[in-house]
Amino acid sequence: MTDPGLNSPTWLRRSALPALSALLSLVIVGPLLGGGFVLNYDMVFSPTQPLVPDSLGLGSAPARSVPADAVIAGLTHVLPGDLVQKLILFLAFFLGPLGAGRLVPTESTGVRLVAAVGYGWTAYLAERLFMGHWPYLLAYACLPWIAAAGLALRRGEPKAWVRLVVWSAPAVLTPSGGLLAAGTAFAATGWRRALPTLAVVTVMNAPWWVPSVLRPGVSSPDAVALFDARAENWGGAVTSVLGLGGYWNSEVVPASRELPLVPILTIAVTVVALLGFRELARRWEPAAAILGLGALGVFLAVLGTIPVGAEILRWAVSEIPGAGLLRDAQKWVAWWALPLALGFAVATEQAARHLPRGRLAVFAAAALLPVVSMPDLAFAGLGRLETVHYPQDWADVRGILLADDQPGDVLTLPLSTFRRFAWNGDRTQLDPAPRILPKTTVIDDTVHVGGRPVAGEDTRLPPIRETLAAHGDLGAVGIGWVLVEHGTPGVVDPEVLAPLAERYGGEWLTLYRVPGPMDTATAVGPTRFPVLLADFSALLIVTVSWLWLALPTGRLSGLTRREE
Amino acid sequence: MGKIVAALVAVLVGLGLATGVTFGVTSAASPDSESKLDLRERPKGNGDNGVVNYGTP
Repeated sequence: MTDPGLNSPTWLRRSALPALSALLSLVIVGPLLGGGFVLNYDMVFSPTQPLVPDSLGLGSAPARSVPADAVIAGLTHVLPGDLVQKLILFLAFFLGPLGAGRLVPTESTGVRLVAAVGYGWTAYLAERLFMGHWPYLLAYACLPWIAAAGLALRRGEPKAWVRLVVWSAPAVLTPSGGLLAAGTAFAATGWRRALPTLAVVTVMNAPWWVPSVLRPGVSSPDAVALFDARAENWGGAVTSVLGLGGYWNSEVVPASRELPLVPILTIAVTVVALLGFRELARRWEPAAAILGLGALGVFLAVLGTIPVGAEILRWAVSEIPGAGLLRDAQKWVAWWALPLALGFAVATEQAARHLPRGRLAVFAAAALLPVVSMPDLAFAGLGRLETVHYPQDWADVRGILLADDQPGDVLTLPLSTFRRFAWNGDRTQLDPAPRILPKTTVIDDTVHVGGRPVAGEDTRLPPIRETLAAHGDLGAVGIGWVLVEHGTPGVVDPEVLAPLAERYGGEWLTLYRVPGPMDTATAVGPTRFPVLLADFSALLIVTVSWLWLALPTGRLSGLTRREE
Repeated sequence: MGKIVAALVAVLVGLGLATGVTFGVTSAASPDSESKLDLRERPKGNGDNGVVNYGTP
């Protein structure tokens, strides 16, 4: 067939995919690239994030944001924090469509563009962006590149292993992202390379699984039902998940997902993609494995909505350390996005073959389909997300804590994981204190879902709560400072603050010093040596791989051989 | 097979356009169009009893 792009100049065909990917990213996160920070639900960045024991999983809290916090701490000591956040957001929405477009086994630029938009404009991306799950966005963006590296391994191409490591590195910043990357790596490399792949993903994910294994404790099973996949419309949970949506939190679901035509559209897209996959399987070796992984993702995502599945999940979460990862199971549907986008793009190519004219219009319409059916992802959710600046109080408090050598950790009050400040448009946001203050900061990790509390897992909180209730000595539980955040829901008992010495008083924050002796041995975390060894091993494999890829090692050795 | 896929793609494009148009029309014409269109209007959680909701299933 004649590709509509084949008559175009070479430079135009080559630049079309990167240009479209950049355009997609700008249309989605462009409004967030100005000055300031995006602070929404789980997304918190700060001007300079501290490197504290919790950043490496060495604290008393579960290693959920490990090693992401350590990496962001390192980056924000080199670049301004808001710039780091903007780079991450732009790349997360740029690399995904670019990688998916490059991955399609076709000579047609139009087909690549269809795959790019199909992968880069999805309900999964919208809901995770609105929920502030930037590590998921980054992992999702890396999956096509990991698949490409796996394919290169199957073909025996040089440097394929290091490509696999380098493209998995941004994904392994969190446990869920690491598992998404690992699944894709296994599917793409094939069963013959399963053992070396296992070795690579084990080392790369060691920064979170080592502290998780060393830290006793299981998660609350109550959260399984609360964090299940949900129906976004009359089509039910399964159809919502098939359409890459179905996130549990209705507050972050785009309004367009509730439209009555969406389930029909979802089923039609799925059927077309599966038809296209027949052709894709003929052209592309790992197609079946990638499709199988996608099916597994859908299965896991809806498992909690099936009675027996829900019981299995509840048992696993409450009995197996680390199985808390299985909550919020909708995240696994990220695996379904790649076969859906590639299958749909190849189906479009097949359809265009049977048209005597108007092929360009077919590709254009197929590429626009995801955008017109979910327009409310554009422009940061039509204004849902915005950038804001931290009040000066935060920098002042940080400065005081840096200058004062009073031992002990910081406790933030009122006790609540999330905040809603007027200076951030009353958005629900994670307490930013642990990512701003230069000391270990303890927050209450109990979360409330629909008004129902879900028990936290930080082992330090129960004795601290008891001390607060008894108006006891906070120094005895390792707390040297108390930070009261104003203008957010919650009450603070004045009697708790009465014996404390005020060190700073501002409109949004008041900082108190805890007088008297301090027990600094109260924080219990995993043993340091194995955790640091895991961090070092992962850092080493990523650094060496990146250098191997970036430096002209292969070319130099080739030159040497030719000279001989 | 190709013709079936072509027909399905055509149906899909129609459905997609219809979805987009429906979104635009319902957002503009709905009595609560303000909250439909202004996605910054967020559920406020409970807040009164001292907690901020993580979300609403």
